[in-house]
This record gives sequence, C-alpha cells and structure tokens, in this order.
Amino acid sequence: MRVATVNPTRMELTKTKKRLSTAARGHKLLKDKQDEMARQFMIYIRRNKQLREEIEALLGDAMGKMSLAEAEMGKVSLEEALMISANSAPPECTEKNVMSVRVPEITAKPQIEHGITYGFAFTSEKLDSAYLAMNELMPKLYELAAVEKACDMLADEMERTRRRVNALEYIMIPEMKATIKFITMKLEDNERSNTVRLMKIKDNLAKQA
Amino acid sequence: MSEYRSAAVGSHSSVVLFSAAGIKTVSAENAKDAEKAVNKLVKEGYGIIFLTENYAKELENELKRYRNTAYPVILPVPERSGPGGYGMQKINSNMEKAIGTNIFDKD
Repeated sequence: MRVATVNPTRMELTKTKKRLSTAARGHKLLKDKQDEMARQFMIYIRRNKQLREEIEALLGDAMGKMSLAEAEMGKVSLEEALMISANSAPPECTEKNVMSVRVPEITAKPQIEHGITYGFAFTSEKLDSAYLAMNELMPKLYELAAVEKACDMLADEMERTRRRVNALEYIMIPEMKATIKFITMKLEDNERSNTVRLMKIKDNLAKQA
Repeated sequence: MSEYRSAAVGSHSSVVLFSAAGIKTVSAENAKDAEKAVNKLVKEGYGIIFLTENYAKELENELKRYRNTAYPVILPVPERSGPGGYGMQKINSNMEKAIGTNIFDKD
C-alpha cells in the first residue's frame, strides 16, 4: 500500500491515528446509511414498477379510446369539447426527506365530482369513456411521477454513497494504516540506533578510563 | 405546501388525452421542439411535466440537469402507439445503479 509522504515524527503519528479513527467511524456510518437507503429504495422501486405496469396498461387503453373519439369527431371539435375542463385542481406538492435526500411527494387533491363538462350533442361516446378513465387515472399518474423521481434521486445518492464507502474502505483506511506502520517502524529504528550509539559511547569511555 | 401546475408534452395524438384531465398540453413534433417546450414550461413554473417516452429517451442527456432536484418532475409516459419499454428500462437502470445488479426477475 502506498504510504503518504510524511515526516516520521511522533506528532505526525498522533495525527494520522486520529484521522484513522475518524475515517473508520465515517466508514461505519456510511455503511449503515447504505443499508438503510437500500431498504427504502427497494420500497420505492417496487411501488414504481407496480404503478408503471398499471399505468402503461390503463393509459394505453384510454389513449386508444381517445383516438377513436378523435377519428369520429375530428381534431377541432375534440379540442373544443375539452377546452372547458373543470377538473384542473393542481395537486399538492411537498417534499419529503428520505435519508437526507429531498424527494418530491405529490398528492392529487380529491376531485370534486363535476362529471362531464362538455355537451353531449356534438361529442362521441368514446370521448366520455376516455375522459372518465383519464380522470380516474390522474392520482396514480401523480403518484408515479413522485415515486419515479424519488427512485432517480435515491439511485444517484446511493451510487455516491457507494463510491465514498469504497474510497474509504480500499484507499483511505489502508493508506493510513500503512502510514502509521511506517512511522512506528521508523521511530523504533531511531530508538534502537540511539541505544546502540549510547552503548558504543559507554564502551569507548570504559576503554579510555 | 406549494402548488405546481402540470403539463404534458408530446405528439398531438398522445397528449390530447391529458387535456381531458385539465392539464395544459403542448404538442411537439420532434425532440428539439419537445426540449424547448420542457425548458420553457420549467421556467414558467410547471413542476410536473408528462413527456412522452420517445422524446424522453432522445432527450435523456438534456433532462439530466433536472434529475437532482425534487422539482420539476419529468415523467416519461407511454405514447399513443403503446409503451415503448423506456419506463421499465429506466426502472431497471436505476436498480442497477443503486444496488449494482438487477434483482427483479427478467420478464
């Protein structure tokens, strides 16, 4: 393992030891964060998959009806019929904190029952069913929007966390350990050469006397 | 707390359905138009944008900058011709990114 270029002094040794213990604690914390995030992520991604499957089926259905209606009525009169749509209450948009990632949370406001807001005289009955299906679908669409965004954000954050954990585990911590070992050995070596020197001097003095 | 309006962007036949739910719709005939429309809507304060899959796929890189804030939310929705699999693919790629492997059964 690469050793950081440091002076082998006692001060450096204490400093590195302190850094090592901080890094070890950080590593443990990040690892815990990773575990909990994985759990949360699994909940979201399951919901995401489930909702998407539902919506892909239902939306395809509604779109099919809508194009039938358009074929029957023509583009212009279809747009005209949908111009006055009363169910346009915007959804409640808040943020939620999931493992310090701020994810969106969207809840559709309970729709007031307006029923159908256009006249029946010039519209196709295909439009009615598409219209009702779509309005039923909206709360799910909003939920999917929020859940999918949460998944995006959590996935990014988890990737970042994993990189940090790996950097600590495989680079920082081994490097610090190697540095500590290097300094301790250097210090011990100095100690020994000092002892030897003292012994030599003592011998010389004894010979002179 | 705050209320964001929602909008739908895509080819006319795909987004017309959204106007039935009282959502503002913007027709875009190609990816470039769709990108412009999305950016404009975001600037105007739309927080939830439904974008049809084909454009979402083409604009993946352009939409990355909206990825790390809670709002705006840009949701790929299937287009008129049916789901193109981009939404599912996105779920799987998120999964791989987060866990390192796809643990859903391949079906």
